[in-house]
Amino acid sequence: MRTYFGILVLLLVFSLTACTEKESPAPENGLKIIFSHLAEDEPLITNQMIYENAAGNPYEVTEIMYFISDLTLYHNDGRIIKPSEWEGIHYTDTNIPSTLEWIAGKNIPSGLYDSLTFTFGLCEEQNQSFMFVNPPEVNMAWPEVLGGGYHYLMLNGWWTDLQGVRRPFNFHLGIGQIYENNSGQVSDITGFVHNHFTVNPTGGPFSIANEGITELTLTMHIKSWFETPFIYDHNQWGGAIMQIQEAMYIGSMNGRDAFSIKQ
Amino acid sequence: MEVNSISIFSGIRLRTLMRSLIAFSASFFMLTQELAAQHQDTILQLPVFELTDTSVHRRMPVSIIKAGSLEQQREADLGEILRKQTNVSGIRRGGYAIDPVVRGFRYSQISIFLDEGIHVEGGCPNRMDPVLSHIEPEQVNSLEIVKGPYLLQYGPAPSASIHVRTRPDQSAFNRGFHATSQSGYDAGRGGFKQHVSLLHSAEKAFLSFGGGIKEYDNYTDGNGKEWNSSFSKKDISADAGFKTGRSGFLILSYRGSFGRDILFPALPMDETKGNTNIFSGYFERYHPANPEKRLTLSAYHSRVYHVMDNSFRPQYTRVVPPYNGIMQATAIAEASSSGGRFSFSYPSGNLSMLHGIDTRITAKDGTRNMRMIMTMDGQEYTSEKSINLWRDALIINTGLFTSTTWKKRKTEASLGVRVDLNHAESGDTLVVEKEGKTWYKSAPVNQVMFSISGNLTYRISRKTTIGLGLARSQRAGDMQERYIKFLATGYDRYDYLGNPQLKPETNHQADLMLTFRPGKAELLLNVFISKINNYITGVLVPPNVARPLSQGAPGVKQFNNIDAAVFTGFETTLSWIPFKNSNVGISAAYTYAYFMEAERIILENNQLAGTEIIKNDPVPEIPALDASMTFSYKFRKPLLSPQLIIRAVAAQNHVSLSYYEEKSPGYVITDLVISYYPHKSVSLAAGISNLLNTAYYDHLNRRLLGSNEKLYEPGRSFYINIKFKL
Repeated sequence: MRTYFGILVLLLVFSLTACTEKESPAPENGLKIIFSHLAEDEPLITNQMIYENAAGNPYEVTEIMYFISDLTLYHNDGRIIKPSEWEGIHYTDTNIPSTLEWIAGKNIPSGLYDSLTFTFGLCEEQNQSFMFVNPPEVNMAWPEVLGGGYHYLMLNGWWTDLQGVRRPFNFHLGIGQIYENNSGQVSDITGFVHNHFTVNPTGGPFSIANEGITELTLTMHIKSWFETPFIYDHNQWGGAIMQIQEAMYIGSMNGRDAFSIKQ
Repeated sequence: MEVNSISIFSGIRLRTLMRSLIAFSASFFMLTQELAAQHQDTILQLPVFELTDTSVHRRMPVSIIKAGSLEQQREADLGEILRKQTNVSGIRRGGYAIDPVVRGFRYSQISIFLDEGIHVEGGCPNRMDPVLSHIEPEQVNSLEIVKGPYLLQYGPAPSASIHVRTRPDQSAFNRGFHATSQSGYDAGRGGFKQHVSLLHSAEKAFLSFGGGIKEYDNYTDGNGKEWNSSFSKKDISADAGFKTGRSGFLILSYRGSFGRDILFPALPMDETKGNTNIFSGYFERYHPANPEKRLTLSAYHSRVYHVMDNSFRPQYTRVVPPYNGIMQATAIAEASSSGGRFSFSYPSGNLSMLHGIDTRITAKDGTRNMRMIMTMDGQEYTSEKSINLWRDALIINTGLFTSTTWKKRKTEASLGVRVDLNHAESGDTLVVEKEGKTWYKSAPVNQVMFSISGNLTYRISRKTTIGLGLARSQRAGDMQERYIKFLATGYDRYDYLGNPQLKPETNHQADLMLTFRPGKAELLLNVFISKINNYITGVLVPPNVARPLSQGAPGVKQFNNIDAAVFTGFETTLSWIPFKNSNVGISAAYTYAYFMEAERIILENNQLAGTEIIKNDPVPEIPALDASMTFSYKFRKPLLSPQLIIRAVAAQNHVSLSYYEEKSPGYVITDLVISYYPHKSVSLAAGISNLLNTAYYDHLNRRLLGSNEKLYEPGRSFYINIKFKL
């Protein structure tokens, strides 16, 4: 009995004196991507009708929201690195400063990298309805009846039409629809088109340090959405294009050269 | 190195104590004057700190609450009543269905069962309906809380057991006609309860029926804030007993409980419908000359139908920023538990032997439906999705148990052994895989579990007894831990994903009990330590692997085994009779629990910025140091007993870093209760709970959904309970 008692008291004393302590983490490196948005090669100024696209539409931008995913780095020794093991999708929102930085990965092989690529939007496999349930991502939901999943891009603003009237535009990209007889009626949808695309931003090689966080700036050139290879005219497509696959196709083609990186 | 300190009873001031005493004295004086002329001659029963000395009490750390105590309570919920017991607390998510926590152990770590091992599987994945919420206090004869894995005869007993006795005992055959009416009104929340029971017995049979209703409105806290916590419940019960020969009897029982519109402001949904039906049968045969020779056979089937939705929330009917759509969610779950138990006991020399076998079959199925209604480009679009919460999930547990009790002079000992075979399977088709690693895939699993407990008591002197309990007990993962899919079931708002491959959790526990009875006092001291290997808890899953499906959930955690958690602490009670007819009770309890090693996710801008290992990190949701004092006096003429209860709870600063748990302040509350027996058929209990209208919350109270604000406890409330019996 005394032995048991002694053991119990010792265990209790030991337990009650146990202190919380943090173990120092091993040194690691990481890649942080900083998002910037340029209009006519200058930082974007929102809510001012000061820009003009290649079609000659005077326009202003209210906000930009978009997803990028499947980030891939190309090491100059030939290795292909996918750093985003933790979170492979990033949401960027010009209204939410915290989304303008993304810790894209940790413990990435250091050295020189030739380039990187990413998917603009979400690939078909990933783009599942109700994948996000919290704001702000949930507000990117794409109607189930129009293909489901999420918007790849919401570029919202105003343009001045040919009559000089200031009109809103929602330059939205997501899953497109094929309509029987081009009716545009939901009941006539016969198929869907996944408009996500791969971006290989210009900007050349970059390096990732052995320790610490390496920062890369990923810049969206807004005017590119409206030119090269196709001229996009708001007067032609109107303010809402969620149900106009041709307009979204132009957007998905034009977006491929809308990004650059800089270290 | 960071050392957590414990500040004791922050907020307790002498002035507060004085105010309580003055209030108590004034009430006491007024009532004695008013009622002095009345007198009856009935035995008074104090609700707490009864002097008890049973063999079970000496051997095991156990608390017993009898029906007489339950009748006097303001609370309409067993979980809330249990919180008054030493080292028992509860998780509050709304105004009803408080989930008990014993010594920091919770959920399936506590085996809660009725009578001879009747189990109820709650339907709600958010634990809106913990086991005790399916039983009404008026249906209960007694409750036994065994703090430790010592009660192995009624199914696996992981870390604690709560034995709820509802079935009439053998005395029901000899009671003739009885009718009882229990009514109660709680002014603080406009709560009304009424329960009626009837019993008629002849020599060889008895029949009893009971039924009740409860209608409770929202409660208001000490700051005057109203919390959406109303609920409505109905219950019904029936028992039929038959004597089978001179020394045997059979009792068939039914219990039904039906809840409607039970609101939970800390959860994303409310319970709109909850139907519980429990059918059971019990047969007992004993030797007429030696009742210790006994054979029992019992069987049961319990079924729970649970519907919850967010129709009481604003986002069900309108757009609530920052959402830009109407968000509707509904979940329906059905659960059943069926089982049986056979046991036989007999004396053998100095030994009392008990052997038996029991089995429990638990089945669960449930679906969640989500609907989002959004307006885009001038058109309204509706998106819907249904997912399984469980799909034909099944757990079968069969156990063999044996126990023996030995008594000789000053020494008493008991030994219990239990072996369980646990089989689990599910009809899930969900497979979660990522880059070659399988995170979730359902496949049938069989596990063998071994539990053993031993208790030794030695009477050192006429006044002093010392006892030691040692136990090793295992429990398998429950329905939630194995098969739940993406629902916020924990305190941290993460969606949880089950893990079919969980290993059993193993508890190694030691209790040291000391009883000291110097004359008119009794002192009980119990210190314990428990080490749990393969502790089942949530571990964060990368968003790349799984994303949450519940609004407000920041991510997904999957149940996993981690090594190891240590729980240690004490309970002590002192009951003292300073002068004739008076009683002073003092109790205190504390649990200190930590993970030996825990991984903490470091987040920046809601993104993974790294991880760190924390040693000796506190286990989350552990109650703070708790103490209470009770003063009571029994007047013989008139027959009444006023009682003042002061409860002080320390601040909880010992919080989990890995779970980002927040500290909680301490509080002191005062209750005043007066029991009055004007006639042998009438008893009355009236009181004021939270006399000083203190605004407070317990550390285990959940946060209001969508905020960091904790659910506050009800403010001052006057209540009255009246019981008539024929």
